[in-house]
Amino acid sequence: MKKYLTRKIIIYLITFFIAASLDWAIPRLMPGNPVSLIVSRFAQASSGSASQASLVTKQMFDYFMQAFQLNIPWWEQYALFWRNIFTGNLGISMYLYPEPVINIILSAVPYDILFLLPSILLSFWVGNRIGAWAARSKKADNILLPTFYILTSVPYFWLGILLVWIFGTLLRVLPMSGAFSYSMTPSFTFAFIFDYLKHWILPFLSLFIVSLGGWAIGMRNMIIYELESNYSRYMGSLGASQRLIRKYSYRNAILPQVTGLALQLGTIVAGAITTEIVFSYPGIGYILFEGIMNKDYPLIQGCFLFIIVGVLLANFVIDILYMFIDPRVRIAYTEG
Amino acid sequence: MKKIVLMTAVVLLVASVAMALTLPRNETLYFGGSMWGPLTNFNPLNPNHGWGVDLVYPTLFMYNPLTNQMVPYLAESGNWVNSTTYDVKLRKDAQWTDGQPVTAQDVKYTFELPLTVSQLVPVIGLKSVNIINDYEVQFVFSQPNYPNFYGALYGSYIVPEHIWSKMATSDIFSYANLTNPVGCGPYKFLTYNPQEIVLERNDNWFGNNFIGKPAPKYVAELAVSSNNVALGLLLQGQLDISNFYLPGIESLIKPYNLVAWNDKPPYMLSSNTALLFLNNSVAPLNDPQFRKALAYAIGPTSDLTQRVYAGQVPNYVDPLGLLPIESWMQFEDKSVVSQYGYTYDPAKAAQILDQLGYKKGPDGWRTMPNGQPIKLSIICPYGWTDWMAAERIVAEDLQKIGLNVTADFPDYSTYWNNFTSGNYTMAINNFGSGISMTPYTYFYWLFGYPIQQYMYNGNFERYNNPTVVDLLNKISSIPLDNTKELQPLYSQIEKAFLQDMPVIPLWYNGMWYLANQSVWTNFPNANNPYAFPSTWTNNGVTTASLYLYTGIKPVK
Repeated sequence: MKKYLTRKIIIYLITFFIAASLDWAIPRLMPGNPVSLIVSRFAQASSGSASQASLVTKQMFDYFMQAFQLNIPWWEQYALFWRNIFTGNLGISMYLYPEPVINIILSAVPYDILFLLPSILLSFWVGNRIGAWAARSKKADNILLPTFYILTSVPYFWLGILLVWIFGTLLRVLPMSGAFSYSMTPSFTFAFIFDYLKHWILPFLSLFIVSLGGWAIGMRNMIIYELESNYSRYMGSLGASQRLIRKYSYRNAILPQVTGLALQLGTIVAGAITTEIVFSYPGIGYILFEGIMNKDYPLIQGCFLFIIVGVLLANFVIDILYMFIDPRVRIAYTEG
Repeated sequence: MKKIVLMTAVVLLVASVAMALTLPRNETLYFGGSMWGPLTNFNPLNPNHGWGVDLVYPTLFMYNPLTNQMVPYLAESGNWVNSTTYDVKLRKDAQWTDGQPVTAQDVKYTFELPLTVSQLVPVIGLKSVNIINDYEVQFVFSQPNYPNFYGALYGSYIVPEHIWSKMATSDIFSYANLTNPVGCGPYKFLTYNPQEIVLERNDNWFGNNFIGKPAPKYVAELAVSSNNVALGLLLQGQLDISNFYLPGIESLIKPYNLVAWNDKPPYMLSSNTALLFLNNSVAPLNDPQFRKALAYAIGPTSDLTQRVYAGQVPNYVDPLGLLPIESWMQFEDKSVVSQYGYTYDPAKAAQILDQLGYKKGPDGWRTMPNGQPIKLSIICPYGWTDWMAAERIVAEDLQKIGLNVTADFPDYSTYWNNFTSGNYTMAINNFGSGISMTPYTYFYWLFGYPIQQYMYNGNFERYNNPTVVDLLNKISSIPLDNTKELQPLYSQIEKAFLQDMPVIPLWYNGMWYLANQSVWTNFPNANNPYAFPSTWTNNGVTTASLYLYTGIKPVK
């Protein structure tokens, strides 16, 4: 057990180091200077204003170069990056200047988690159940498999627009945009929570329905494979009931699905950009996208740092979970 | 234990009921079109501030482009004492929302701040701002740059000295100003969240007496990330005013009883001019004759706007790109335009190119006179869908006269990088062509900036003509109303423009404006033009849109 954990932790630390270094390097490898983009917005802001109050000056350019520490050698920037990680300082966003990156993430990510987490977990659970069921009923399979394929290949945003059109425009039963009514301010009241839930249904459904298909297909194929495997046949020949065989095959089939789940959960911090745009839903996905388009180094780094930590943590948890759900792993490390 | 839980629950419930704010629909004006992400900056001294600053902080004057008038706002009056001193009398009843009076001290502080804060841009030629008494200041110049100073009079927000002076100089420019900003405009900063920013009426506003009381108790600007959402909100009446560009809206104006500026095409007022920038420093675009040929191929009237904007904007553009507003058009020299102007005439364009020796090569494309191939590309940012459509049409126009032109769409950052560094052949842009009090702002943006490695502010086409720069300098030292002296100078610039064609005007961008009348009514339009219909920030004239808030009426 201890050996298993130490090995895993060392691997994770190395992975984190490499991933974080790439996180630092990749934005900087994009062509162009982010500060010139900041000043482009100042130039834009000057349109029509004869005051030239927003004239881009050399001082302004230098000011931003210094404020974002882009005027020092790259190795110093890199060292600073690591120091900032350990002191918990993610810096100030360039695109959403002068807001600290950590505030942006903290104010946007909750909206994502609240609709991504339920949709991922529920679609995982329901998808696996339906997939397992489809695997053992030929008739159901004939109808369900094509349905799953259609569902999983439907783009999120297309389904989102369709849902908005049906429930928002035609039936007018559900709101078509936002995470809550524009007349509300977030507060811990029944009225607000009810309002929030009403806004939550459509974005949730658009993600839930689409990811459902993927899980179901995966599960169906895995179950069929497991049912055909030697241990199932052996159990069958020993006279075990179909129910028992299916129970065992389900346990085996769920393993790769769990890994997929971990990866999805880890990237929750990246948000769901298409859903956010279609529903004008506040979240980190759209902000991150704009950050990338604007070469916002601190924002990109900050978001991806959370994604890296998220993926690593999720994998770590799954690794530990594996010891409980997969006896082979447990035995390999405790006896090996 | 149970008791504690119960108590906490009760306290939470009571507290939450007390804190919850729900905006009553019939007292709230919702609009959108200038906020694309969460609000992060409400600093009036930072030009890149978020929406709403103009409703919270005052300017000395407002400029109304519809009437071409400077309207006193925080100032009661202003006049030139002599050629270098401008005297401003302030209104005596203006109060900051913390109860302090707005005084000459605040004005002096604001205008002298650029002397200590290097990121702020000072008023050109301003020596000092002298306090005469609590409500009177004098701006003393070494030599005023009139367009610049008048722009500052209606474009610079006054901040309360008693608050901002307590801040460290180095923090002033980077201050986000999101906690209880103290202003004195018709609205107070109320709250913001990732979806919107909400302002509440300031019942103590000094403008109540001479502008009127704003009708909506609350105004909320929505951050909407896509046009289809904006369209849905507008049609359902959740959005009262849309300043979004909504493609295809023209067919929905009548069925949904929406208010547009004009009730027939072109539906929108013009807000700025989009131009084709030709990089004057690369061959063959360094040849004025070649550029003139391109102008004939594109033309001031073509089916471009009809194909892209379908009646939302005018189907022509001025040959000089001057906006159809009095302040600019009064200086257009019709004789210069008729003598040196151009029309949509592809045959003539081809003929000019033939004469110049840009003959067609074996592959059907024209080559340089020495036989070298010509390869041109137009760029605009990817995702700016209307511009992309327009760019394709311009490229087709140029292909028709035998030029190998491609329409390219780099992402915005690459576009901007190439555009400012001169690493392009042709590009579409409109950043400095917005409405103003004088065409000087437009011509200066186009031709005034000296050529450097990076051009951030203007002259992106790198047009090198010292005579024009000289003329611009002369214009800047003449009062704006001295048309007699100004006209010959403008005529010369216009002549140089049309002879050299460093840039080609393409179309008028719309002042996108639509209103839904289900909650509010009496919106301004061409028949009732009491306000400029913009809620955009940084428009330079948004303060003149104040009348919008006092002019609309609730539907009972």
